[in-house]
Amino acid sequence: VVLIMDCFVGAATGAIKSISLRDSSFSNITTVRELDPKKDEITSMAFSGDDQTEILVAQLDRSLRLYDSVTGAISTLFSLEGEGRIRGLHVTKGQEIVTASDEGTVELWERSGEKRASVRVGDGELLAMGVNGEGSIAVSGKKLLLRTLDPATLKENWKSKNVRNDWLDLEVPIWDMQAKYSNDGKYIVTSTGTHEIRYYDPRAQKKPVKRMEWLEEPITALSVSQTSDWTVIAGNTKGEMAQFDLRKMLPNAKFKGQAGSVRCIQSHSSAPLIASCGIDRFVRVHDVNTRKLMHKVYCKARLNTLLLRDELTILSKMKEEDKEDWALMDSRKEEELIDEKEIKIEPEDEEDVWDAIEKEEEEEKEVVEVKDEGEEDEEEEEEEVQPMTKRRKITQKPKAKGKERKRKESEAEKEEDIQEIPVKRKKVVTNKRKGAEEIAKENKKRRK
Amino acid sequence: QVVIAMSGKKPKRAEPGGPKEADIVKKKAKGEEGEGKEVKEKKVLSKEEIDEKLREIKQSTTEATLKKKRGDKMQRAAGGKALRLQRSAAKRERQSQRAKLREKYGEELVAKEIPRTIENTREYDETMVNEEDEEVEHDEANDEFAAYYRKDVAPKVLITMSPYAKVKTWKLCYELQRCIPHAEIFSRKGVPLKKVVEQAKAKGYTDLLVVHENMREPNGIVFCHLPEGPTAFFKINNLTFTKDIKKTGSSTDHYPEVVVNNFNTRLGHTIARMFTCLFPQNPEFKGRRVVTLHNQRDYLFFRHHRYEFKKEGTKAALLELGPRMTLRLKWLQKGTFDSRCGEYEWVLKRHEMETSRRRFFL
Repeated sequence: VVLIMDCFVGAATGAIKSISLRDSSFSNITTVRELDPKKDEITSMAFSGDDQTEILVAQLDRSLRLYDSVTGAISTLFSLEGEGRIRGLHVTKGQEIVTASDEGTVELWERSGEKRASVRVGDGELLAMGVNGEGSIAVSGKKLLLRTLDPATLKENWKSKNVRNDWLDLEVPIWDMQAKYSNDGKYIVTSTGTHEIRYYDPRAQKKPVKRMEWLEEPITALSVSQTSDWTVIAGNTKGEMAQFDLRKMLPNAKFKGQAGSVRCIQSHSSAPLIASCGIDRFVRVHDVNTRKLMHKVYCKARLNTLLLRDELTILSKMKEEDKEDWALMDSRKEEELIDEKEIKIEPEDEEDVWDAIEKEEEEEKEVVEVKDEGEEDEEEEEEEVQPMTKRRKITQKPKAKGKERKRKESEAEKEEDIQEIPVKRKKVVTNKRKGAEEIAKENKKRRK
Repeated sequence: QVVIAMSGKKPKRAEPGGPKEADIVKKKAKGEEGEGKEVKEKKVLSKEEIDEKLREIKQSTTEATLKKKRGDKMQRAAGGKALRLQRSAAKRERQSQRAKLREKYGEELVAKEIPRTIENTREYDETMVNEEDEEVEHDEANDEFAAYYRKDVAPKVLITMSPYAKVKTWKLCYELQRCIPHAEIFSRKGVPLKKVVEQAKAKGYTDLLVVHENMREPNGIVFCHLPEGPTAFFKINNLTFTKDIKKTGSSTDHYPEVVVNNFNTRLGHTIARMFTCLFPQNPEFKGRRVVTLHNQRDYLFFRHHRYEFKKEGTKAALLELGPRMTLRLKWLQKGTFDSRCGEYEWVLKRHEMETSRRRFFL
């Protein structure tokens, strides 16, 4: 049985759930009956490995569990010594585990359970840990200034300084709730409990380069967008989620829907999607461009952490179907090339060839006309014949000679074949830009 | 009750020969031919006929009223009372015709019409709790109220109010104290709420009720379940004190029964459990006291009654005691009261959530 998994969530009851966005459903990986929330509450999750099939989960009682989604097996790796809630979890390239706990200790563990290195970062409560592409670790928390640690030795590379006293000359409390590296790994973005988003450049200065206030509640979740530069998405304790531009230090857009405190936001690596989870027991997926709520999954338990896979069922379906169509066309191509060779030999058939080319040209003109008529028709055809329309656009522009013309022929024939499929005429008001929502709907129709 | 009413109306409206003829027909059918087939055929036919008849009834009278609606501008201009009377007359006619058919053919074939209400047409809510939902049961077995339900903890309630509260707020506090057994009032005098919470925890209270005041009137209740429990904030919409209710009785010290109605969603479950945690686990039925929290369309109705069973236990006569309140949940926070830095489990965001008339959260 292959479970469809778009994302994994860890609940406050201790349940690990895998969520399928296509079906808007979830399935519990751990059996709920046997859980004890006071021990098994999931505090941190991380992908182990590049293929994102294995998840490492840290529980409240500091035991690490490994879930392999391919085989479906959960195993307890080992229990971490020491005390404190594990706030940060990361698997390095060398398959070592970095953990950051509440008490202010950052530790490096081997897969077997041996402690390779351990550092007491400071006196405050460690709340946030972010990791670079190179493995450099940024750590901060309540009364714990932001600092970066070297991946191998866990020594402090850089430490930040607190902001100037406020207008009443009172010390601004140090309370970072989230710390994340930017995409290039050079800058750090943090969100604070004093409703600020801060931007640090370790190479430039110790104090934050930019600061921004947003509403009046602590900002509990932060995610740096991987698709667009300089954008960051944050969520606060009242369920407000917004996207910010770091250059202007202004909010761009709001994502509506969350009713409770947002605990975790993850942005997808290639598609303009954001997944968020919170205490209101829902996982929501928003489209970044249209800011609309695309998927909402009810998960019955308060959710703590979220992991989003790169391969999503709502996206990958397109690719699979594309592949099928391409394969079909390739196979047809081969057949027709053989026929063309035969045609070449007989001179009489050359006329047929030219006729065919003329026909094809006419068809192209027709196609052009159709397009000019209205975008609606194009859309409808695209519903059935997605990859073909794209090809049409490419082949129309240059005037082809010789072999390319014959390729066009074959395509024309294929087009004819495909055009036999009855096109559904609907009155659809569509936008030019297609969101993943619409693509998903179309795929649904196709499947039916 | 409806049957009785119908039987009451029959002699007035029925045509002189109507029902009697029907009875006669039936008797004849039974008497003449004992063949089942014929009877069945008659029923099948009559069902279709019945449906047709029902449609006719509907069309005939509604068309008439519509015509009247459109036609009589003067009537409309005259204030509409005559129109209303016409419409109600038409409705009664329809009802009586349907009733007649129902008498003839029985309830199965002529089904009663169900009025479309907002509760009937409520939007689908995924968070509705099914009975025997394992995960929700597990969640509830381990949540903040589990100790109360396991009978490990007895409820101990502290009632307080806004600092320097006025007469009405104090009145409400006294009434709540009378309603909830083992409740204590504490006058606020400018102590910050977070400190109140700390002190209450230290003294072993399980619940904290803060009556919030504005413009000399109580307008909200902050309900905090103590050890580490959720905090809910309700807005008081309609408040009547015991004195102002006509025909009240006097309350007693018996532990009341608690009735919690119509909380179907997960959020509703939490609120219902919070409310029951105020009262002791063992109700004293001798006292015949009931406290009800009834949810309808996200409005919570708090009522306090004394009941007495009459007609050999088929009916219960109610005598109202105590305050009468309508509450609306504004937010639910995880953890004790901390409006600034606490995490909210649910917040009512009017522009996002109150867009549909048929969408409710409790």
